[in-house]
Amino acid sequence: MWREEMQNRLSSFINDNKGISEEFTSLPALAVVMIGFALFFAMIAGVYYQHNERVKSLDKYEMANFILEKLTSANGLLAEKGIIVGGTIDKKKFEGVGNSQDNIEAIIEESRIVGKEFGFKLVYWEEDGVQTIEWTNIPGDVDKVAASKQVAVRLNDAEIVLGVLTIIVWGAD
Amino acid sequence: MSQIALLIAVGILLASISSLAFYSDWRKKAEIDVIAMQIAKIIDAAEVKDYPGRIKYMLPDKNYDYEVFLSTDYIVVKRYDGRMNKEIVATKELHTRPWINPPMSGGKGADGIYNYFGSIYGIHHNGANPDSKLPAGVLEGEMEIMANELAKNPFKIDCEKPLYVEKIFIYVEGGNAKSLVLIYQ
Repeated sequence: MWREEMQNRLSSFINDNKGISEEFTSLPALAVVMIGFALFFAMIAGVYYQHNERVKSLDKYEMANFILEKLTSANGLLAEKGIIVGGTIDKKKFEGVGNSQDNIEAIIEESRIVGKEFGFKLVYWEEDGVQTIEWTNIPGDVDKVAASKQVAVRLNDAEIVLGVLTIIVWGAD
Repeated sequence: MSQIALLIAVGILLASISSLAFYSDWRKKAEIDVIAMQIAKIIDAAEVKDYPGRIKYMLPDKNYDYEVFLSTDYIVVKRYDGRMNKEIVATKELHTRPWINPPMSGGKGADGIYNYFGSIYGIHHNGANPDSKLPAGVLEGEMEIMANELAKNPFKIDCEKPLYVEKIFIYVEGGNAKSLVLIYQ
């Protein structure tokens, strides 16, 4: 008897379609907060990734700058080869070396730079306009990094002009 | 039920994000990355010197233990207090090949090297000046021995002692003076 009564009560409770609904539920609010959190952390991850990429780029540039400074120092390899004479770049010598693959390879080997290859590009200003000399070993389709410095370029015994020497570095195979 | 499920999902999401942000080892790796970078910069600074000179560098004193290894191409800094992985490693590539822990006798640095070569090839072939040039091929041979040795057993730096990075010039037959960077303790 008592059991039947309980079952009837339970059944009527479950099947009753009337009910009181609260006007405001926490579900949408919680969903909005969680979406906000997720977006915030995605943004933090993006910023961290960009920071890392920036550090890597800076590292590559510093490496290129280091190689440039090492090779163009007063006792550096370019001075040994006669490309830099008295602090100025000899245009004829620079052009001569840059057109010869053997000379370029010899310089890269003697530089003792590990794991990298490099080429030079010289831009200088003449009366006719801007002239550019680029070494022939610079590839077009690899990831490269460059660093530049201002130099004096000796065109001949009577003429020295301003120029920019750029080193372009890429990974060796 | 859906509220409980959402609360559980929120809890899991917050726990995973906070573990990534606060308990991962990226900060510890960044700390030893800085140490590796500092050592690399010292070596680069010695490399671009135009004249002989020595730099004395003390490794930074930290509130954690770390080890520094040098091989021919890399600086490796390790610490062993990671949460995810016990060992955290930072490596920095070297762009030139210094002479690490070279054989020296009767002194350290340039004098030690000249004495070492002098003891083998005679005082008139120790490479110290243009009148006493080292025989050709000797330097390359020594560097190759160093490279092979370091490949098997990287040089472990004693973090309590100063590290010396010295730029020297060695005169070799058949060529001009060769510049080298020595690293020793």
